[in-house]
Amino acid sequence: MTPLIELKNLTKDYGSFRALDDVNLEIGPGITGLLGPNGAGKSTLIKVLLGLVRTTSGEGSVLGHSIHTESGAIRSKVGFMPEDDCYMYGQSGIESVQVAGRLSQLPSKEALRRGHEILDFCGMGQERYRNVETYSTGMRQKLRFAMAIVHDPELLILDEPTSGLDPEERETMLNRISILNRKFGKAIILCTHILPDVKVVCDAVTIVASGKVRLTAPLDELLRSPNPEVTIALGSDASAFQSALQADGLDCQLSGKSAVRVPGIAEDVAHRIWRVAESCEAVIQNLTPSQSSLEEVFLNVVRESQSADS
Amino acid sequence: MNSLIAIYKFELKRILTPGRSFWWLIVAAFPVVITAMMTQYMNFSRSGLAPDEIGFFFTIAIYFLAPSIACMLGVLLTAAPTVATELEQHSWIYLATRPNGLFYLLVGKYLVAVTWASSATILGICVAVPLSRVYHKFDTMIALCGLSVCSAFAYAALYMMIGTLFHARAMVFCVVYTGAVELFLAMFPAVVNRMTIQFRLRSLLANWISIPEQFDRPELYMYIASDESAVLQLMWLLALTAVFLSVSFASVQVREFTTAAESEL
Repeated sequence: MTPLIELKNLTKDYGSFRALDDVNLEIGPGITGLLGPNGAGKSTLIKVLLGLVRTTSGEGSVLGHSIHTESGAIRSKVGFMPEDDCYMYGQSGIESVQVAGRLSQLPSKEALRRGHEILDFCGMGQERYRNVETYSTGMRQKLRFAMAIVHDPELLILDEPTSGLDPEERETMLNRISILNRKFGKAIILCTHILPDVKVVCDAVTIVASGKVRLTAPLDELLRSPNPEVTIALGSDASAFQSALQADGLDCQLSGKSAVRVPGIAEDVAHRIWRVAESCEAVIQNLTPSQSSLEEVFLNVVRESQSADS
Repeated sequence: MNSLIAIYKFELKRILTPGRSFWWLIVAAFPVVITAMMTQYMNFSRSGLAPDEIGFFFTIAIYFLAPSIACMLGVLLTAAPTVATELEQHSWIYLATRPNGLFYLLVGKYLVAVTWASSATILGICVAVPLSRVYHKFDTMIALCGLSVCSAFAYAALYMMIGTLFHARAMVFCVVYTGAVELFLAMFPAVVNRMTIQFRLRSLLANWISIPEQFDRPELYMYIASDESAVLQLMWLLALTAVFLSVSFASVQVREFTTAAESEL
């Protein structure tokens, strides 16, 4: 798989402060969660990708274009939704999106047509004709999202797209992000502190801490438990089912009254579990492979980086 | 071009608010009110000046009031805060992440500043000259309007450059620079004043209006204005404008500010 983003030995200093330290990173298609504590260097990394800041040393490319010499080409193919709240005073929502489109080289009418299309996709109705000063947090978030995607970019960089949203709006926003990737094939970098969001939509995760990339891995690999087991939830008392599993040679333990835990990888033991369930007419409500928590993984990586630095 | 038109229209719309329109009227009214008061209250009958000399006096006065002060003030209000406004509103990053967004932003804002200031000044001149005792009213009006446009282009570029170099205190630096260089140094009888916009505008004025015989002596205004051709003066203004704009573009490309807080790094 060709990486969309490739950074080699990249360093960025702000005076005596090293914001990025020998970063080596490859990001492929799909949705990648960019995680890190505050001040880890995520924002600087994004600015380097967009060509907004120059690197002190190192090489890099985004969508095959050098970050040093082809920032114009990168910007025309990348959509960026910054975290900062932004008003374009005196403009309505649709005008803001149209201006963003025209600045990305779209002709006026095409920018307006795309603007309406994108605002429809973002679920913004007649309020698109209101001045942006009157918008709520959720509407401003939608508007920023629309401005980022109006020119149909190949790569989207979203900085905290769900912060400040209520649970329903958050879910809708994550759905939109997911649709852009699954249906329209957009590569997305999701920079966030909300780890459940990452778990819901991301395919891979990159963790940055103290200016270094500490971990890059597919999400499912990251969440795979070091001691894999399967938890089987039943609608009734599980002791008879436990005995049947043990009689089939599976080592298992009761977990509460109506659940059983079976060590092993789900793909390996599932067919035996279903066979036993069928033979003893047990009704399985849920069969869940154990997972590491993303929070745990994140905290471990950050703690390790802190102890390595100290 | 499409991007430039978008920015120009967007900035023009942003500048046509009631507050900004009020300031536009103030800038336009400034030379009119002063000229009207001068015409009304100054007594020239005992001065012994000929009508063309009185007309010359009024021409110089309107030149200082309109293309100089009013136009300078107009572009100061619009061109100086170019970067600061966008950083304050966090809209800078939206523009910076578009292809050539910063270039179009600067050019768009520059043209809006020129439009805003020169239109106010031209309106002021068109009302002030008929009210005054200027001798050749139409010719003088045309000359002063031309000077207003030249002044707006040159000063907008100057203030945009200062605004991009010192965005945090743009207004202060602009006022200090104007006072020290364009008002004081430009009047200083030395060769160094030839580097100022004011000197070039005055030289253009000397080229474009008729000067009464008794004032038309090289030794009288050799340090105040140049007797070189108008084309040469225009070339000088063009060169100064190009230098100021180039420094502005280079400044936003080289500097790495993206938000108000980060720009302090």
